[in-house]
Amino acid sequence: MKLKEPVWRREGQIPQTTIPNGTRVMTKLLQREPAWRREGQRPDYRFSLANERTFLAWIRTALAILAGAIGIDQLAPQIAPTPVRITLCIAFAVIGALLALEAYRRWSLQEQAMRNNRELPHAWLLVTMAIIVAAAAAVLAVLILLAQ
Amino acid sequence: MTPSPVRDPGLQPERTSLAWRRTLLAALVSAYFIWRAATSAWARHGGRIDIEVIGLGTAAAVATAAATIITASALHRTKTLHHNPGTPPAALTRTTAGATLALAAAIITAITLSQ
Repeated sequence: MKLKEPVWRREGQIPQTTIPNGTRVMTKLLQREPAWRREGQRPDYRFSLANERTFLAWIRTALAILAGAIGIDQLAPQIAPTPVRITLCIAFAVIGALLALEAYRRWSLQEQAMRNNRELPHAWLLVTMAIIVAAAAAVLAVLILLAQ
Repeated sequence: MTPSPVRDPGLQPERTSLAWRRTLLAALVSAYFIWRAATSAWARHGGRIDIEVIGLGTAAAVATAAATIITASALHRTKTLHHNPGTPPAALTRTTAGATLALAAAIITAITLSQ
């Protein structure tokens, strides 16, 4: 028995009629698109999906930093004097917020680069986040040692 | 010569929808800590409603809204992924990033208030 090819594989485009009923409202809500969606060529769907997963991975990193910020505040109140703890936790939360913004910006820049067949933007975010996470680990290690 | 078929028709969409579900779980963990802060402050105040409890309650409501938005985005993307495996609507990624920002704002409020 031969499996039926999905429509998008044959046509290379979005078959509107096959979208399930329940998702029509969301589809309508999501119709406003930035101008770059009309530039260049639609990239290979595998590259688009990889870019989407990269975006989601950065969002998860942001969410993990946010959970860390409020987690330290809620579960380890003894880790440092209150003003130090609040400053540290708010700094983590702000980093998480900035990372969420950056995740969207990078996703859109990379999508644009792929559409126009340009080089992907430089990944300075990797270096920055490596430094931030190392610094956070060092600060937390010192605080845990001092709290004993 | 006919073009060679795409090697992994099912796997790419599947990995992407799993990535959405992982993101949803991460959002729920962050939201949980805010709910915890709100309910424990309420219990600490012996069930009395004051400014701190109202502030934390608002933060918890914002966190619930953000978690709902991320849930809706993840479910929507998972459902439509097989029909539209290309670039997702920019509004979908923008909404997800926006919900994460709202969660961050709720967390900053909760940290400031729950002392």
